[in-house]
Formats: sequence, C-alpha cells, structure tokens
Amino acid sequence: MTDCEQLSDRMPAVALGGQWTAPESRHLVECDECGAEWRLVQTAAGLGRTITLRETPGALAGRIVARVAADRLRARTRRTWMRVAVSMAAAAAVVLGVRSTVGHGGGPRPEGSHPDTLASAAAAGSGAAARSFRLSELDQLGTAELQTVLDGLDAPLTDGSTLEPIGMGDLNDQELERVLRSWEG
Amino acid sequence: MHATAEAEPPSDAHLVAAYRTGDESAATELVRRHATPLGRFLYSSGAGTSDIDDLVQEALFRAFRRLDGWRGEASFRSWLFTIAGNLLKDEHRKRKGRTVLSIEDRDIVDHADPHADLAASETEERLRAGLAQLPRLQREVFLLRVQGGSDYAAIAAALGTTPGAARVHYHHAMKRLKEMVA
Repeated sequence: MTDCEQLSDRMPAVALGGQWTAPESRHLVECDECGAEWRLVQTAAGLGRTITLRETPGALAGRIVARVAADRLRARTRRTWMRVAVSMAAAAAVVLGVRSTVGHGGGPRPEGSHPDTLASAAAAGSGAAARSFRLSELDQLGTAELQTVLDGLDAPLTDGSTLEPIGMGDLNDQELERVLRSWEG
Repeated sequence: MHATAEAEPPSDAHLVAAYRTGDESAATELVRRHATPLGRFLYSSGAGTSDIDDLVQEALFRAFRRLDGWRGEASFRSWLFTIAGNLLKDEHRKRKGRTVLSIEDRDIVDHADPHADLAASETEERLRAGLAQLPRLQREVFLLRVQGGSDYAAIAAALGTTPGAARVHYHHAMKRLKEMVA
C-alpha cells in the first residue's frame, strides 16, 4: 500500500516530468486528500508557464556581465580614492601633530640654563620662527651627558623604528576605515 | 567506426568556475538555463508580469556580482531563487508594502476549451493570491520544491534552515493553499 506521505514527497518530481507507478496512480484516484494535493502541485508547477523574457539569454547575459564589470570598476575606483583620502589624512595628521608640538611646546628659555639644542633644531626646522623649549629634566645634565642625548637624537632611524610609515596600500577597506576613524577620534 | 559518446552538459558549478576565469559564454549558458524558471518563480511569488524582465535582470546581476557567495551546498537555482526572494522583499519594501500582485496580469492560456481554460486560469489566480499571503519562508520552500524541484536538504541549505524545518514549512504551505484554493 502506498503511503500518503511518500506520495506527497514524490509529487514535485512527477509534476516536473517524472512518472507515477501503477500503485501510485491507483492511490491518487482512491485518496481524496492526495488527489487534491496533486492537483495543487500540478497547478503550482505550471504557474507562469507563459512567461517569456524580452531578451535572449545571450543579450541578457551580455548586459549582466557588463553591469558586473562596471560595478567592479566602480568599487576599485572607490578603493583607490579611499587610499588617497587616507594618505592625505595621514599627512594632515602628521603636519597638525608637528605644528601643535612646536606651537605649544613651552615658554621662552630661562636665562642661565643649558643651551637647549632642541630649541635651535626647532628654530632651524621652522625657519625664522625661533622658539625654545624648556626641558627641565635636561637642566641637571652635564655637557658630556647632553652630548650623548644629542647624539642619540641625531642618529638615523633604524628599520625597526615605530616611526616608519605604515604601508597603507596593504590595508583593506575595513582596515583603512578603522585607521581613519582612529585618527578622527 | 567510432562510438561517439554524447557529451554531458557542463554542470552549473563547472559553468560558474568557467565564468570566473573570464569565459562569458558560461554566463550565457547559466542565463539560458535559469532565467525563465527565475521569471516564473518571481511571477509565482507575486511579481507583476510587466516587472518580470527587470527583476530577472536585477536578480541575475546580484547573483553574478557575488558568485563567491555560492558555495555549492544548495543548487545554483535554489540559491538564485533565494536572491530573487530577497529582491522581491526589497521591492515590496520600496513600494511601502503595496502588493506587487496585479490582477490584470492574468496568465490566460489559448486552448481549445475556453471554459476549462477560464477555470484553470481562475485556479491559478487563486493560487497566486494564496502564495502571496503565505509567510515568506513557507512560500519560498513551497516554490523551491514544486517549481525548482529541490529536495529538502538543498532547500534548507539555500534558505539557511534545517531539512526538517523545510519539510514542516512545505506542509504548512500546502495545508493553507489547499484551504485557499478549494
């Protein structure tokens, strides 16, 4: 005897081109529930059978492929602009950082203190805008010790320095956005 | 004499892989296989016939744009139908809940027996209206099964549910449609 549930499971496959076996056909005639379900499945399987698309598959595929290519190009351009924006923001952040450090570094150098080479470096770096820094922790140092500090400051940055520029080109969009957000606070 | 073995048509997975390597004819073959069933799915889900072409193109565009999202657990067609279901939901939202089903878009068949055709057409309209009233998951499971021919495992993979839950949704849909269409 054919089980109703088993028959129900077979209905979509038969509606899409399969065949009933003789016992299954008999069951459909005898069981009202299964008969009603089968008619419904047949109707649903044939729903929209007169739908025809305006374009041929070739034309439609061509249009879709072109849209996908244009979309990818747009995304790539957006990424490039994002990188440029991040680089400019980074440069602006560095400039602002330097300016704020130079601008609010401290008051004028008191008389009688040690020659402050940082002040002269800042003055040299910013042209005529001669400013001085008061670094009280250097006040107690002797000439030899100060020279050692200066030598350390003058030494070139090594590869392991944290001041090395970040490779922005290696970051993905999410990482770039995160960097931007962190800079913007 | 050579025995010419009939070449098996390439699978959807094969065509997708070919398209990814730049073979545009693979895209054409995928569109040829699935565009019309996709249109029927959209129509059965409540889209008006005048919108079908645009919706089919948009659904295919979305699918091709993120082909990496298809991992082969569900059939390509089930996956495509799911994208079309999402698209229809977006469209429905854009129209602020106004139903997409249009009563003038009758699917009239030109057969010899006009009375039988009219009855069939009315049954189809009632079925379409009934499908439009079903919860989305029930409707999609039902259509993936009766139009897509997918089994419960493939439907579950496409819709992110379990085969058991898909079976339950199908039977709920069947019960409600029987009541609506009868």
